Order: sequence, then C-alpha cells, then structure tokens
Amino acid sequence: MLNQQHNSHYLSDGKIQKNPWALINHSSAQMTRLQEQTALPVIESNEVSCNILVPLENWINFASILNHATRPLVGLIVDGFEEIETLTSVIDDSGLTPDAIFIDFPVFSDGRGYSLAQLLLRLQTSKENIQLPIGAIGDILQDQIFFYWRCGFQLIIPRTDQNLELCSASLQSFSHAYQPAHCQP
Amino acid sequence: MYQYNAVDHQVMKERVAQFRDQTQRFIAGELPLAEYLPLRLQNGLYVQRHAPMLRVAIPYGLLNSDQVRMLAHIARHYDKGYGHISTRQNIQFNWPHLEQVPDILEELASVEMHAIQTSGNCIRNVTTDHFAGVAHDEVADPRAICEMIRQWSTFHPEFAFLPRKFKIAVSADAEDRAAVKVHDIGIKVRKDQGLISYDIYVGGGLGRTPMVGALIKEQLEGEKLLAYLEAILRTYNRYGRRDNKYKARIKILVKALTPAVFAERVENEFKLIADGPLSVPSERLSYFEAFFAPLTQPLPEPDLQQTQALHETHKADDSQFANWCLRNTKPHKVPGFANVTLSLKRTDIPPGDVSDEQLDAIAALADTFSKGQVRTTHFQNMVLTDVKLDQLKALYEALVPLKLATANTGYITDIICCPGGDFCALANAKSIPVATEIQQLFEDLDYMYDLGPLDLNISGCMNACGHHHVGHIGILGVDKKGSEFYQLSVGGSSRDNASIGKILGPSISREAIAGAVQSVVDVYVENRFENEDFLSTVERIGIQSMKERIYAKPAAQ
Repeated sequence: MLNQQHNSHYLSDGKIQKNPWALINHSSAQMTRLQEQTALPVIESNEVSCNILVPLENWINFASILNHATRPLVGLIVDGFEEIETLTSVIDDSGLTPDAIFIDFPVFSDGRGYSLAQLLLRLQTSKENIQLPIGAIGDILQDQIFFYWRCGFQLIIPRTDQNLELCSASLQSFSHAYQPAHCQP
Repeated sequence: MYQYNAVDHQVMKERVAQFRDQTQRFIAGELPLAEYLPLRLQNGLYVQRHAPMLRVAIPYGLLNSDQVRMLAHIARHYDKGYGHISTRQNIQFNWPHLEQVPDILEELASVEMHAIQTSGNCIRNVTTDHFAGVAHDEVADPRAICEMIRQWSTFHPEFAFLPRKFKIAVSADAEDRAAVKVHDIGIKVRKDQGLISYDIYVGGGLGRTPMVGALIKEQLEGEKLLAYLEAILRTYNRYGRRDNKYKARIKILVKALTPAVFAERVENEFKLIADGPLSVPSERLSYFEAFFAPLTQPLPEPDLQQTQALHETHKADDSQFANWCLRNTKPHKVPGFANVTLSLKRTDIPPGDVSDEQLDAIAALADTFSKGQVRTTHFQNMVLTDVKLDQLKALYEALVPLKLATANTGYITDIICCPGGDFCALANAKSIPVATEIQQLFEDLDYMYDLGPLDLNISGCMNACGHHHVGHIGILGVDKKGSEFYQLSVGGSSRDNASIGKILGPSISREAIAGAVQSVVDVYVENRFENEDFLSTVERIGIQSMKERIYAKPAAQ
C-alpha cells in the first residue's frame, strides 16, 4: 500500500518512483509546514546521505558549508511569488547551482507557482548553464496533479495523505488538451 | 455554429467521469469540503439557499434547437420546470440534487454542452454581442475568436487557480452590446483598410469596486491574440492580490500599478511568447470561421420586394404586431431578414426565467423560423436570428400565447435582475419582487415607450450580478440591521460610452424603492428636451433634483 508509506515515493516524470529527497533541518514556518505536508525525513545540512531540499533563504549559507566535492543532489525550494531575478542572483552569489527547483504551494488554491514554473522553464531553455527539473511541493493534491504535470512539473511530491496511485492515474484524466503546454504541447 | 469533433466529445466524456469521481469521493467523505469546493465551482455548481445551483455554459450565448430541448428536459426532470438566463448568457438551474449533477452533465455532454468554468477563480464563459454574425453594424463576426478563446481557456493548466474569477468579452459592433469595457479583458474588434486587429481593454468590472477598463493595447495583430491574452493572465496570476478576495480582481492590480505600468509588464511577457505556439496562423482562424458561415443568403430582388411588401401589409393590418416589430426586432445585415428578441421580462415572472414548455416551444420555433439556432443575451432575453420578414407575423402569433412577445426590449420593464435573496445565498436583499413592482408601475405601454430606451438593473448584493452599476437606473440591495434596503443610482451605462452610475443618497426601504424609481423618472420627464434620452438629461441636469425629489419624501432613512 503506497498510500501508507508514500512519503517514500513520489512522481517523477509521471511515474511512481522512490523519493530520494529529504528536507534540510532549518527552523522556519515554511519548513515546519512542509514537514507536515510531506512527512519527508529531515536531515542536518552536514549529512549527505540523501538528496536534500533547501529553502531559498538558507541557500547561500548552505552552499558555504557544503563540501562541494562529495555533495549529494541539492534541490532549491522557492515560493510561488518569487522573482526570477532574486532566484538567479542567489544562485549566482552562492556558487551552487541546484539540481532541481521545487516550487512551494502552501495551499493548493494559490496558483502563482504554475506561472513561476513557466518562467523557470523558459529560463532553462535560454540559459545553457541551468538545465534542471522543476518540482512541486506542499499542498499538492490528486485533483491538481494533471495541471502540475501539464505545466511542466517533472517532480511532484503529493501531500502525505494523498493516494499516490490515484495521483499517478489522474495523469490520464484527459486524452487531449486545448492549449500548448510543456506536457502535451 | 461550432460543432464538436471526436476529440471534443472525448474530453467532455472524460470531464464527466472526472467530476463524477470527485463528487462520489466528496459524498463518501474521502474528499474534504474545502478541497471539493473549487472543483465543484469549476463545474458551475454552487450551494445556494435551498439547494445546489448549477450554471450551464452557453458559449457566447449561442445554442442549437437540440440543445434548447435538452435544457427543457433538464428543467423538467432535474429541476422545478424552469431555468434562469444569467447576465453571462449562461443558464442556471436552481433545484438540482448534488448526486444527480454528474448525470445532468452527462446529458449535457450528449448535445455538446457542459458547465465547465462557469464559476470559480478561473477564466469564465467568454461572452459577445447576441447579434454577432447577423448585426448590421458589426465590422466582423466575433464568434470564431470567441470559440478560439473558449478552447484556449478550457482547462488551461496554468490559470485554474487565479486570484479571482476572470471574465472576457468580445465585441465587433458599434454600440458595444457585449459591454467589453466592464470586463476583466474587453476585446474590441476593429477593421482598418480591410485588416482585422484588436483593441484590448483591461481592468473593467463591476462588483464592489466598479471600474471602466483601460485601453492597454491598440491594434493588436490578429494572430497574436491568444499570446497577448496569455501574457495578461500570467501577469495577473503572478501579481494579483491574494490576501483579500475583495481586492483580488485584475482591476485592483491595474489601478495599483497604473494601466501604463501594467501594460508594460504585459508587453515584456508578450514579447517573449508572441511568436511561440500560441500564435494563430490565418488558416487556423479560417478553420473556426467556417463554423460560423452566414445562415442567410441575400434574396433575389423580386423575392425581396415581395417579402418586404407582405411584411408591410402584415404591419398595416395589425397594430400590435407592428408595435412588437418596432420594439423587439432588429435589422439583419441581409435585407429581407430580421433578428427577434424573445422577451423574458413579462411582469409576474422573475426576469430571465424561462420554463421547460417555453424552451421546447422556442426550439421548435427556431427550427421553423431561424435555421435551428437560438441566442441568449446578457440582458437576460433570448433571440431568434435570420427570420424572414414575411414570416415574422407567424412567429409573433406563436410567441403571444407562449407569453414571449412582451414588446419591451430595451425599455424600463426589460429589467436585468439577479436571482437575489429569493434564491442566492450571497444576496443581502430580494431583487425579484422589486423588479415586479417596478414593472407594474410602468405597465402602461404608451407611458413606457414615451420614456424611451432605459436600462434598469437590479442586484441583490454588491457582487453586482444584476449589473446595477451600469444601469441607466441601478438598484443595489443592502442589508441594514437585518432589513432589506436599496441603494439607487443613475447615469450608468454598459455601452460604448461605458460609465458607472452615481449613487443618489442613503439607501431606501423596500416599501419606498419603487416609488423612488418613479420619482427619478418623473424628474427626467419634467426636465428632458424633446427626444432627449435619459442619460443625456442626467448628464445635463445632474442628480441634485432627483435627490431632492426622493429624499424630500418620508421614504428617506
């Protein structure tokens, strides 16, 4: 039953995969909420046993103490309302390019992250040094999975109480789309 | 009209299945209300005072007779025998049962109808002139563009959770019968030296902060329309306020940034996507245009003369028929034909309500007289287009017993009115009984015609579904310590000269509101110059004398 232990799995490219991501131990309201919503393991920044998700406000500090030679995959968590310029300047300043960017949806009804994803995906195609998957994290529900997927979210971490098999099945909700998007262009 | 292809049918089937599953999970307690709520709203389903209310989409107000029959069937089998035409040209059913809604959607899908995005914080039904394609004063038929916008906005994955609802209207006619300047986006089609382009207005709207939209883009190239719309929506989705639902509409953002700055942000985004996959090549537009080919061809000269002569004889023989022609028909762009408004505004029924029997009859009349097509209007009436002039008499005689021939289109008793406190959970006050009382005051036809065209609009709360801000006379229901009161305004317009009405003073009691409307009309009649319409008089004399007349009476609170 994936439902019971699904924090160990997530959707990667639309398929149920083992979830390699953990949350960094960082004290903030956002990270406390994400911990509740995802039930992902929380690890210290000096542990490098699994892939690690780090919020934007902690990124520069994290990059400075990370052993870049032996580092794991690192994912950057950003708010849906973040400006692209802020993101790129933090990444530049830190000297650490993330391996994935996860957009945080604090509540499922806040749709800003869908648009931010479009800007990020466009950045990837225009800037050669940024080639990374976009992820969705937070209040991610079965009934919106189809939208995330079409908007180009390659990595989707549904909320911990969601049935991952139903989430995966919902990608088949519609056989056709009326507008170009990252999936089904 | 547009006809579904295999893909459209498949998508509708999948939508019904999706919503059935969501509703079953909700009923079984597996899906919490807060998470089900936006899903049901995006399928047009509200929970109202007595029962759920289902709003069915009528894309840009166009129906075929089979669809009208289906609406009659739904009214009869799932509701209490009637539907209500809304100010977005949709139809609402007030009494369906939640568990039956998926079945209703399945029945609708069988005739190429749905309830998708008729509510919720997403892109709503696109509306246009109810005489689109047949109007004598249009520069182009806007319906192909409307259909393109409908498809682009349907299940748009990026814009399903906007800060607030989003309404788009398109108009290509001189007087602007689609009220584009009071929409989130208003598209005005223009034609310069044979070339179609669009003027884009943004940030208009009613509700608690009524505003007239600002022109942010002139002469947008035809093939860039969808890309430009996407740029507007993306900008709004990113920057529209989400902290306060009363300040979340795009008009607040446009005002806060100023139209110039907003336009600049949109332009920056637009530049990046203008040549992308959203660009609409002319072949693509032609594909849609082919669905809206004219239903009527010009008559040969002898036929035309005969038709016109017969029509004149009919009018000469029957003065009531002649009067109905004068009030409720409009010229068709093809000589020898007319477009007919079926008034849903007779006294004693709520404005915009239509019964199952009437719907069935309208479908049959459409087959006989108007090539099987029917329109709904944002004035909450229905329209039969393409009626041959010499057939008007027979149509009229069929409409009279159906009580669809009230000759009041555009006059004071042709009231736009929301369902109000009788049905709507949001309403502060009833609107339907107020409409009835006013209709009774002006029942004398000679008196009503003497007043000239006059838009009177009533909303039961400040959400303004009854468009009270843009009524020449507007009435807004408010709650005052648990009692129903009404704010009265004058001077609004939704037409090309769009403006927001001015409030006359403190709100007025239920007992006194109809009398106050009478006072406003009296002041107009006493002060007007010959042939001067209501708006011009109000503009010339101001509102002071109306104020004095109303508040000198004990009606004032």
